[in-house]
Amino acid sequence: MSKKPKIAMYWASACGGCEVSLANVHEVLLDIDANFELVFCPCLVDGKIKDVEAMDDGELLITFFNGAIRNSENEEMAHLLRKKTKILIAYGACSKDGGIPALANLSSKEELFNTVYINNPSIDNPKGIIPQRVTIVEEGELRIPEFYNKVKSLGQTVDVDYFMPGCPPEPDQLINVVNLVLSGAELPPKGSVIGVGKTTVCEECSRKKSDKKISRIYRTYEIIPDEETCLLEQGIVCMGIATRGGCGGLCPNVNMPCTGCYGPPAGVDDQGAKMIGALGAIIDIAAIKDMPEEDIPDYVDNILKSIPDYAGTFYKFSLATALVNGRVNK
Amino acid sequence: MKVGVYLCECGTNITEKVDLDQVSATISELDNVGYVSKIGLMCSYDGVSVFEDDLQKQKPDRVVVAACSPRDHEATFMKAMTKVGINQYLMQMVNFREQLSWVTEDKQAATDKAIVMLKGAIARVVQQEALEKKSITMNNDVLIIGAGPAGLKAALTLAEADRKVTIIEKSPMIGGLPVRYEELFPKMECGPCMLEPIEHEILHGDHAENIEIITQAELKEVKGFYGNFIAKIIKAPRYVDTEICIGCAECVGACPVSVKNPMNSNMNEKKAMDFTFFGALPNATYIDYEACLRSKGESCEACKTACPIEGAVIFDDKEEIIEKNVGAILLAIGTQLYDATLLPNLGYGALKDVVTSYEFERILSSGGPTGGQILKSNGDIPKSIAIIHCVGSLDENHKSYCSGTCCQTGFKFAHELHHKVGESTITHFYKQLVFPGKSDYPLYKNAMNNSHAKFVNYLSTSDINVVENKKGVKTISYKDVSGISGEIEADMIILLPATIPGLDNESLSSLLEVNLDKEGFFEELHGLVDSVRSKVKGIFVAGSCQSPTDIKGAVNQGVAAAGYMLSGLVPGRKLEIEPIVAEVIEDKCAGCHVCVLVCPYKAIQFNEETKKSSINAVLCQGCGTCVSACPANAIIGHHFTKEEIYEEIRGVLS
Amino acid sequence: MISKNKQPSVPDNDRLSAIENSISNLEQKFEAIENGYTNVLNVTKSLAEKIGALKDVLSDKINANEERSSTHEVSQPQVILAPVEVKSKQYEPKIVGFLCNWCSYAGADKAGSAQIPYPTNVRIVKVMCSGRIDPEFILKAFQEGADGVMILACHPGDCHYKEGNYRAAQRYQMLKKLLNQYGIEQDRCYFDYVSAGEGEKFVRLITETVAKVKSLGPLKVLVE
Repeated sequence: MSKKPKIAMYWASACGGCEVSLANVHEVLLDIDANFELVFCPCLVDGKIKDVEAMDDGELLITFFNGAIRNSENEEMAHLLRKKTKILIAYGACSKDGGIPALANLSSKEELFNTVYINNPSIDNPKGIIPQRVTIVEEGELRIPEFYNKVKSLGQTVDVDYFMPGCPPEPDQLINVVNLVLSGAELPPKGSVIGVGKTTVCEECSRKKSDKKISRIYRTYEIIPDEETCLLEQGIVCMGIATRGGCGGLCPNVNMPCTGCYGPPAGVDDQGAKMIGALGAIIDIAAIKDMPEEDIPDYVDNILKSIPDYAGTFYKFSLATALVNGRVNK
Repeated sequence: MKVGVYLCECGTNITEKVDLDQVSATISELDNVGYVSKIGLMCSYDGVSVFEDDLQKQKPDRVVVAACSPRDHEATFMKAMTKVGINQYLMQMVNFREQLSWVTEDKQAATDKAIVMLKGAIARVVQQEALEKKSITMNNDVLIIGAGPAGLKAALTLAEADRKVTIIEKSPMIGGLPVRYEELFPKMECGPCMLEPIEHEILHGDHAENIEIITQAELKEVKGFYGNFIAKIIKAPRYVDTEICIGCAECVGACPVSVKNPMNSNMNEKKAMDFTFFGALPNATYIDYEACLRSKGESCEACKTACPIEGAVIFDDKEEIIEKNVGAILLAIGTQLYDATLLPNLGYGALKDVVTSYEFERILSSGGPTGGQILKSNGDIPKSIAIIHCVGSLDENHKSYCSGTCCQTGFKFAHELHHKVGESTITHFYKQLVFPGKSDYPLYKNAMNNSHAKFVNYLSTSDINVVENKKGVKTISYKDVSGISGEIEADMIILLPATIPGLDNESLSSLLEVNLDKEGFFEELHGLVDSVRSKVKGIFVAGSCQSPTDIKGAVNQGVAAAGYMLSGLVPGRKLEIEPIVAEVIEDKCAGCHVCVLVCPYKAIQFNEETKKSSINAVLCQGCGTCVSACPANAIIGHHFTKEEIYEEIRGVLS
Repeated sequence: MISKNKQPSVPDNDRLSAIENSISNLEQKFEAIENGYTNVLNVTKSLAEKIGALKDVLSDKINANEERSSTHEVSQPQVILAPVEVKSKQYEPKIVGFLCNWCSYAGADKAGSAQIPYPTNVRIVKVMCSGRIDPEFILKAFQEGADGVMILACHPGDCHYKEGNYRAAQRYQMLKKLLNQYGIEQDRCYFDYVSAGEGEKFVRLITETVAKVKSLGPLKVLVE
């Protein structure tokens, strides 16, 4: 039996991009293999849940847990892996902040099922069958995991040691983290966000930035932005200002606005609130200064009309851990 | 942590509606609450001393005072805390009177709300930090830009209080516009006669040693902030030493070159070596170098040869860069007139004898192109004169505002015309007439009573059209407010264009980061109560560069600004910096520039080297707008931190 | 407007025709106004009819609902427009009021000095300027259990710090839309301007907002 420390990577409610990010470390994969034994990774390695269940508590040195907690299976696996792992890392935006799956929190379970199984134009479901937790068939009882009302992050489900944001996390950052563990150096305090930059995407973005004042907001298809100037200054909602760095400014550096996948920066609880705080401040106030107060809302709305979906824009990756984490129940 | 909670009864103002015993019993049980004390009337002399004694005895870490509005007595209790050696920012007040007992009818409801309010304050105060007021030394000297009435009076006021003042003036003379006017409204005083004593006081008076005047000078760069500005000034060469020149004009006579005289709007000529006008101060000539033969490589020395004073003419005079350290800056750069050629139907620039108010002032002036005689360009006395008021004013397509001074100027002209060319007819075209205040009526009355005058009320300048026939006779066709058309002939047309911001408002605005309003005037801190302060602390504004005004208004503003500077820049006193300010946490700043323009006080600077923002605590007023604008929460708003507010929210909702 | 009777004389014919023109202009305008008035009348009439029809539909639905509940049918409650009495009379909403120091907080004090009573539901959190009201604070308040939030700023042009209120107003426009996506009704997050002198307005806004939030019922934000 190998004496190499065991590691695992698990795919909960996610798209698989996180596994790709592991494959994306290229030849470093050999180093990882030389130093660790990847014992459980349903996407890449043949391993069964019962094998994990059979392990001693803490037998896994690291688990990179990606994906949000959408259903009871995700949750069970989170608890199981927590138990068996020394260093549980919430890996990727979904696991850390809910990611794109958490945008479903803007709709109720019923609305989601209606859309997916009944009202979708490409669906032919005359009997209106929707998934049931338990279905009785001739052969007996069929059970599927419970679909929860809301998507949660891993940290909202189990005790997490470290968080690694990104959609997916940059391979370089994964390598940094692996190297850190291998180096034997002292690990950062529990609960830290690791594999990230110091501040926000802006620090890593190479575009030219100057003092900001915008008088119109554009959707990306409306203009061809200048390639060197800050996108936000050109009226494109770039989330970089309110997004933790670590990606190296990938998107803005190729002329696409940041969509916020690294989640809120350190010390920020709510990415969207900060975007509103910042945008509301840099939208030029010159025009509303001389306006009757009752005219201000319409004027501002007109500037804002190019933001069609606030939650979808400002919380694309972080709704589960936002201050208000989705549609409220009453 | 030990929080001491003090409940003021405020006589019976609070106890009538709030059961303080019940409040005390509930609050005592809360985490961190060390003790709860009730005081009868906390703000009274006795109340404060009970508070102080108790603080000394209890030595709390934090204090909550539930009493009246903090707007009433927060300062009282803060002082008491300072007195007993507890940092005054470790206190939170709860407004039990104005926002509770006086506005709640039901006693139990009030008592419940009292508990909730206290929970918020206690949770908040635990988060509060001890803040220290810092202080820095200040330079008490002042830089004044512009030597018109506003700047000169400000300089005199400051100099009399022994402040060192530097006045820089772009032109070679001081006195601004009015010194070029023969008569001044409303009392028809002689302009130079009124201003010269002030100028003499500045140049040679008892406090003249406190004032340095640098003419032909402009501001190049300013660094620093209130109390510590460093100004770089560029002084153009004058080629004449004003200290030793005796103003004898020998050089003027000797100079072989004549050029158009800009002082008289090019209506006559002057020499390359000349005065700006006779009587201008400093009483010294200057060389218009571009006109001078020496600039064309010739070796003319006519002026130097004629000069009786050795060394007064300096051919190798050079541009100088002068650096001044000052505590405050006053902008008093004056004004100019709206460009009347932008209203081409009035004929200005195209037709002879269509003049602006400034040009007519010079025609009236004894130092002007006609020696003070009212003459047309062909030398004839005009028989019919039209004065068109409101040129470019009250017009959304030009200047929407009323300059407020042109009516009096027009009436003054009418008065002069009556005296000098009494038989000539005068037609006033106007949109609105204004003559506010106690002194302006007589000139209006005089203009109205002139039997040779008539008034036409028009709506828009586009309703007036000036044409000239081949004989040079100008005809004004017009439509008045009631839609009635008419026509008059006029030998001379005087336009009264709107007063607009000075030529350099824009460049100085960007140099000093002082805002301009939408018309381009320097924007004041507050239109009613702070019209002489700009939004940048330590930079003041006076006169028509801030808003169109007359001499009285300009002088008052200059003196008002001097008052601010005297009360702010006191020798020996340090500048105390309020600790309730915003501060950038450098490590968290990503250099996104979101905050910079959010600050209305220009307190946020971006360091291009470190790529970080920083906030100047002297300029910061503590509003916190940048704090909530910072998308990385990299700015702390001291005393209103996120943690403090969060805890307060939690507290009031618990 | 001051004008003196020194206008040049104009032939009376011209004047007459000018007056005639303006009269005919006025006549046309009157006609247009009359037409507009008739239109408004018609619209009002048709609206009244529609409201009547709606009322019938509603009462039918309510009746149907009552029947259904009396027969103990297991079904999801369908009617959103439940009568207000259904909600507990004891329910007192918690509302956090973010006030700026110089205008709205002073306005609240003014209401105090004038001793005008208002409900106790609003818990005031003072900041120096409405510009400091971080959207995080508002969402935090909802997260911590607030049923409503009020943001009261200085009137445009009155801000002690010149511009903070404009930025607050711009932020609010965005926040309002976000809250709408969360299903938090607009009445639960209220923005307005209150000057230091507007004690009565302050009381009116508090009273109205409390009533509105009360009728909306409690808000639970963090539900799994």
